[in-house]
Amino acid sequence: MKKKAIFKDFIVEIKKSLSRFFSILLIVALGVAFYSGIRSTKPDMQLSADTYYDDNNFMDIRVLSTLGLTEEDENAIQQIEGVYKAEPGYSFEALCQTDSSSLVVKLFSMQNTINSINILSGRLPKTSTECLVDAQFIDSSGYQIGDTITIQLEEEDILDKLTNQTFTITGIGSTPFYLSRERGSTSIGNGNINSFILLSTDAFQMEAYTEIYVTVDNGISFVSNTKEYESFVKSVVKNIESIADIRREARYIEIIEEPTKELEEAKIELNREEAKANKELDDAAKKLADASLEIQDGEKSISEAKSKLEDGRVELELQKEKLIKSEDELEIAADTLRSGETALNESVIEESKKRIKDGWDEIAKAEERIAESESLILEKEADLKLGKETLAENEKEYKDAVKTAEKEFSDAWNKIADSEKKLSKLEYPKWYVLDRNSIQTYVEYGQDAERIGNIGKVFPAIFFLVAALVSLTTMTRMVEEERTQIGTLKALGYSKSIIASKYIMYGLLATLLGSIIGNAVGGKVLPIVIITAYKLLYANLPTVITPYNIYYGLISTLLAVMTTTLATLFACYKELLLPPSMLMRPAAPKQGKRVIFERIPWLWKRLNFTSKSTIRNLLRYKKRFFMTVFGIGGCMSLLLVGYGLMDSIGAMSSVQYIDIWHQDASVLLDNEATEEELNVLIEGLSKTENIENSLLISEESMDISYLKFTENCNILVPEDSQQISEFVSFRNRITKEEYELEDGSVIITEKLASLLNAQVGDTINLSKDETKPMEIKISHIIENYMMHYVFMTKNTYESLFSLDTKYNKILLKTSQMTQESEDAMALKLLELPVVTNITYTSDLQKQLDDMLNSLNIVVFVLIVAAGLLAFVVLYNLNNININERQRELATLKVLGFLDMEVATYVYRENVLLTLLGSIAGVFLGIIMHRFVILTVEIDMIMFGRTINFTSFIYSTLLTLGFSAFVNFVMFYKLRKIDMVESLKSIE
Amino acid sequence: MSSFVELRQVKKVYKMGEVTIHAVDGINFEITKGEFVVIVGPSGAGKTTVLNILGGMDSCSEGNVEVDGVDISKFNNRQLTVYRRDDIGFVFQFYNLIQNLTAIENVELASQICKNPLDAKAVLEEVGLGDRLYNFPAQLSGGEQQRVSIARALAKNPKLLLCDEPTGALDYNTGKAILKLLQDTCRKNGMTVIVITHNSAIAPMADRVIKIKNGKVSKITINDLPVSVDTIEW
Repeated sequence: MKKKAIFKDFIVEIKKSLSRFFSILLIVALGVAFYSGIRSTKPDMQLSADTYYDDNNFMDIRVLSTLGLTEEDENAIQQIEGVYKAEPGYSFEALCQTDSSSLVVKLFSMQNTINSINILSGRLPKTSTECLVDAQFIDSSGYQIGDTITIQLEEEDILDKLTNQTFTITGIGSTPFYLSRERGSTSIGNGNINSFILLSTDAFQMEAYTEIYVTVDNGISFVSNTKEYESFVKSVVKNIESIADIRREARYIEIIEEPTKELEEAKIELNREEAKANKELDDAAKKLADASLEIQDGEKSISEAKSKLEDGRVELELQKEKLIKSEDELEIAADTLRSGETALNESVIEESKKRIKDGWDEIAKAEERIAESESLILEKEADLKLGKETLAENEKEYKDAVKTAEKEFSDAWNKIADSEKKLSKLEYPKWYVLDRNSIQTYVEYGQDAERIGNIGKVFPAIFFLVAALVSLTTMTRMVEEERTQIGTLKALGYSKSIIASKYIMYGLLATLLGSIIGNAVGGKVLPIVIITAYKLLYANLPTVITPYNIYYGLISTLLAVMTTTLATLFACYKELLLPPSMLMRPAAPKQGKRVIFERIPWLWKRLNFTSKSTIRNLLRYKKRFFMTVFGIGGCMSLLLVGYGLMDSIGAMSSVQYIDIWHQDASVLLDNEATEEELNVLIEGLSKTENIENSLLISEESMDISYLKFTENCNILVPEDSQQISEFVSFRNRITKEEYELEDGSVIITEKLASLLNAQVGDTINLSKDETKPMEIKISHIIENYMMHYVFMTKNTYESLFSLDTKYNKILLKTSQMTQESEDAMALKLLELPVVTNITYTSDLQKQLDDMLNSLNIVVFVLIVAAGLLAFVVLYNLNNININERQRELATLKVLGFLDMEVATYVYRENVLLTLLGSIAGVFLGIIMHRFVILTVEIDMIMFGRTINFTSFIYSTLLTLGFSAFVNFVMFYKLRKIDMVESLKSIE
Repeated sequence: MSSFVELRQVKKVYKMGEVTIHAVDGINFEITKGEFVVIVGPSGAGKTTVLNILGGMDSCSEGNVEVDGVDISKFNNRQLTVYRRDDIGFVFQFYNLIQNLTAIENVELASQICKNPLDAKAVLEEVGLGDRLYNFPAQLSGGEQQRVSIARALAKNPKLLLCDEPTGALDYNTGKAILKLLQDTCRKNGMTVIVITHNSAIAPMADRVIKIKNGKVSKITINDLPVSVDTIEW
């Protein structure tokens, strides 16, 4: 090698100044680790999710239709270019009644190839009476594998859609549809889908598929959430949309024309039936009329017979009288005759007698006949009565029959009319071709990855800045030390570039080694740490994949190399330009300068000489000043970010559930509960042990919009707008001013206001279902950290929506309760029919605290990074200071300064710089914390904006601790300074 | 007159790997209080080692060093520091002023730590820098800087003023002026001054001249009538 000597010098140089070499290496490693670590997190997050999607063959596109989809649709989609596989399926939302509550569940049909389930335990359903449930379902319901659940719908019969209603749980799993705990919202139940339930396809009996899942060609080769993926899917979506018109037409015809024809036929049939029935009825009516006529005839003939009979009787009486008269006459005549006693007469008498006797006989006979006739008439009359009764019965029957027939027919007609109406109402089907962006967690996760990427663009800047300053000061010092050598080499005829190359190589080697270490450690560890922290939100993400990211590795290395090389060039260009003769002479020492403080005599006089020297030093070496201030500032701010994150997220638990929301429990009520039931419940609650106060509220999900922004929020209407202040503090986050709920305006929560970009006094729109949005003014904006709420009084609600308030929740305040007493009370309350669920605030708080604990790892990483930063900067500063001032320090020793006094002379500068850096770090930390919080925060949550005082204390103590540690290490180096140095000439 | 400083069989051995170097190999001499002493010898003779031992910057391997009746040869680090602080004034070849402190502050730097300091301003006036009190070292000439250095040493009111080649970095005339200052200080204040130099030409100005060669005292001369610096030429 030609320049062997120079090369040797280079190697020796590194060996000689290992600590200097390592300070560059370490700071570069830190910067690179943070840069490539945080930047890689974005692709790593995307890849982790993508792997989950790919492993489960998650759909890329979902086709929905307002009128359902058919196999023909499936076939048509399958033919489309870019479609790898199309598979139809069913899904709809239903209710599942558990012991404690009524959960809204999303039912999915088990797919053959697409959307596989990630089975956590158990197995997939095999028959139509089995199901696999969401892990979240197990958590909320308490059911286990082997238990049976019952599914129902709110109004319709579930059996219209499913073959049966009860299912046995065979497994627990998760689906790529849901990465987070959020399952979306729906129009039934309480509006929030709690979990999903997977049924075998056999369990569904629906006229058409609800959706067709589609995977695209080569979908696996793309990474979700990336631009490449999105644009490819978009092209396939377009292709599918292009056949939508044809398929919609076909479906419309299928669903409109056939039923219309059927309906027409049904009408004809019905008409015929009606005619037939009418005829039958008419016949019956005629028969009835005949019968009643007959009866009338019968009655007439009876009455005729009766009158004949009467006539006969009268005749008979007359005959009798005549006969008696004849007898009397005969007696007289006989007497007369006897007196006349003649044979003839005798025979005449006999004859008369005989006639009379005959007459009597006849009369007796006639009487007999009459009696006969009478009994006949009686018989007839009885018959008639029977006939009449039958007739009446028949008439009633007939009337009933007519009525039923009429009802039946009108029902049938109504049905037809309904169907006709329905058909006429049936709109032309709409197709929705949705990609993964229609899935809430997919979008949120993608956004979070994006946010982390953004943090990666800003956060590592501080490390690179400090790296630049460290290299600058280090190399400046190195060049200063080797001034004579540079001069000698120059005098020997070495070119500027060769001389400079030594320093550049030195920096380069340190930088490259640092980059390798930084990439190896940070590029792997940081993504794992960040994604692990994110798994709080995305609990369903099964695997975290963090491959080395070459791209960011190279970028970060390049950035680091540029930073240190520029700093090196900047450090040595001045010396390189000087002629050798100048370089051979020692540099004129930097002039002492009066500093601004000297103009304040009362202050300056109070300082001793080491302090004075310290202050002058601080202001003299600006590079070191900035390096240390930025370094320590960076350390302080990292610590503040770490602790501040804990505070901000902790604020949600402590401030949200103690300072703002004061309820200890909330009781969810049955939507069907009547007012009386509620009154009874309230009465009961007031008598229940431990319950101090309760308030009925109505909670309802609505869309809220202001100008171009729309958000979903919960409308809260308390029964008593005065009493609500005992349960919720309406206060301003900053001024802590308390507000009241008033008629005619609403109070909204802070995050909601900022998302809508709305201010106090603005008029927002609230829309409930599809009704027209209602305008209302914002009266106040209040502090709140979770969910979006809009508070309004009962009067406001009722006049705004022209509806009665329907209370569905009770807020409770209780006395101090143990876990056991809480459980006991829950059990007692849940026995009541109107209570569907009870949630204790303490449980929610516990959940949040658990979340906080897993953030510790992030804080830990930040503390380590902060410590390293502080260490590198202070070590470097001390190193330079001690090397440069070896003579000065040796002189002080000769002058009789004790070791401690010499150390103090050096430390004072460190301490002052540490303090200045800490102060700078406070401001930097507050800004960075704000930036991180705002970037990381998701829509439904507002993290606290402030860092607690204790966190400032911790951060300051840690920073001072790091500083103290470095100073402690340096003490030994100071002790080793040889006093003989003071006798040496200036090199 | 009893001896104020006495070195008896002082040896200093440096071990460099397997080689042992006898920098000082059994030196004996004594100095009386108020004397102006010049220690001369060629480079590497062991002058500086003697100075280091005498100044409490180094301890000897063998022998005894008595200063004002106290044996400092067995002092530990802390005792040596206190010895340097209270008893020794040191004048360096390259002045070794703190660049960031003004002339008077440099003097006060030393005086603030010792028991009976002199007034810094007065001392500086004494060395002829009454009008340069608030100048930084970089604003002073070499001779002026050396005067500040001397003032710094004197302000401690030491028992012993040790000067290591005080004129080494100065031009002829300035060097002379500095030597004059040292000589005057000795005569006026009765200060015991030890000057180490390789320049034997200044020997006539001393009360006592100690020649060192190869780590041993080769000759001690006592001038009964030392001359003023002004009369010496070299």
